[in-house]
Amino acid sequence: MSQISNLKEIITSFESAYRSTPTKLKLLDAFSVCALLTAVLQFVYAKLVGTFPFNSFLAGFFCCVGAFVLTVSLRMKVSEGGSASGPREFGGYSLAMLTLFIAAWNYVG
Amino acid sequence: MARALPLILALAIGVAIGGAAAADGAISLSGVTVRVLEASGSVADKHSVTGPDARLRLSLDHTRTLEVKLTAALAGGDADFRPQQAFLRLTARGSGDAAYFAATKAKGGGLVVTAKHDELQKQVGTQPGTYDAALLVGDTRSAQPVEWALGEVKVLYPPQDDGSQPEAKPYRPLDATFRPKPEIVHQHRQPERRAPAVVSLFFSLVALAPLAAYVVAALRIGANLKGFPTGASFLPAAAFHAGLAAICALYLLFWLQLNLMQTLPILAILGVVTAVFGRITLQGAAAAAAAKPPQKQE
Repeated sequence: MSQISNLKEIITSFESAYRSTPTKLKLLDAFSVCALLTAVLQFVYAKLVGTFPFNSFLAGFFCCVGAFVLTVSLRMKVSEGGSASGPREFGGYSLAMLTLFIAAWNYVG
Repeated sequence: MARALPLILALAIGVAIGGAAAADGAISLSGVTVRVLEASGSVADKHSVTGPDARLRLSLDHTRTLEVKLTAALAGGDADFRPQQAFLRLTARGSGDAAYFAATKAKGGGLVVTAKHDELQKQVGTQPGTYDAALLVGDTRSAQPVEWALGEVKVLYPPQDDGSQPEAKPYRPLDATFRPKPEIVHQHRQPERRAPAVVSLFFSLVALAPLAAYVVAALRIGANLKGFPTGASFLPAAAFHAGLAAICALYLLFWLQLNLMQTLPILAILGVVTAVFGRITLQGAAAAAAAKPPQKQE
C-alpha cells in the first residue's frame, strides 16, 4: 500500500515538475514518444502478421528508432544548453535526420 | 549388333597385338557338340556341328540348359591350345540384344559353354522368342577369329495363366548402372505468404496513429506557427516546405508504384527547387535572427 502511494507521489511530483519544462522540450518529448510508439507498432505488426516486405520493415523500424534516438539527443543538447542553444543544434539534427532518411530510403524499395 | 561391337573390337585388338607379336595361325574347331539338358541332367536334345553354318533348331525353356562342347586347335601351335576368348552368343532376333556365355575348361579336355536360362534372363531381361546362337573363338596368336553360327534357339519362359508367354521386358546391365537422373524442373520462387490486405491497411492506419496523436498533443501543449515567416519571405518559406512535402509524397509514390529510373529525375528537379527555396528561406531567417538576437527561431 505504501509502495503504491509512493509511486503515486513520484508520478504526481514528476507531473508537477514536468509542467515547468519549456514548450519546445515538451514538443520534442511528444515527438520522440510518437517515433518510439510507431516503431513498437511496426514490431508488433511484424510479430503478429509477418515480415513479408522485410526490407520495408527494416527501413520503417530503424527509421523510427533512429528518429527517436536523434530526437532524444537533440533534447539533451537543448535542455543542457539553456538559452545559448537553438538553430545550431537544430541544424545538426536536420542533417542527421537527412542521413538517416537516405539510409532508410535505400531499404524501402 | 551394337552389343557385339565391343567383343569384335576386343578380338580385333587382340588380333592386332597377336599378329605383331606371334606367328599367324588359323584356329580350327572340332568336336562341337550342342546339347540341351533337362534339369535332372538327362539329355533332351543333342546335335553335332561340323561346319560354321549349322542350322539347328533348339528349344530352351526355363528348366533347361544349353551346353556346347568344343575343342579348339591352332595351326602351328601347341597341342594343348586354349583360346583366350571363347564365347557362346545368343542374339535376340527382335531387339538385337545379345547375351554372352564364356567357355570353361571341360573335364575330359576341350572347352564347355553352359548357357543357363536364368543367366540369359539376367543378361537381356525377359525376352521370349527366337535367338541366334553363335560360337565365337579368338586368340592373340591367330589373325582370324572364328565365328560359327549354330542356328536358332527358341527361348520359352514359364507360361502365364492363359498359357501365353510373358511380355518382353528387355533389360541390359548397362541400363541399371546408368539410369537417367530425375528431370530438373525449373522452379520459380514461391511467393511469400501474405496477410490479407485489410489487415495490412488497418495496421498502416494504426502505425500512423502516433503521428496524429503527436499533432494533437503538440497543439494541446501549445505549439504554434508564429515563427513562420510572413510578408515578403513567406513565399520562399512556403515553397521550401511544399518542396519537402512533395519529396515525401514522391517517396510514397516510389514505394507504391514508381521505379528508381522514374523517381530519380523527378527527385532531382524537386531537390534543386527545394534547395534553392531553402537557401532563400534560411538566409531570410539568419538575417531576421541577426536583427533580433534574443529571439530564437523554431
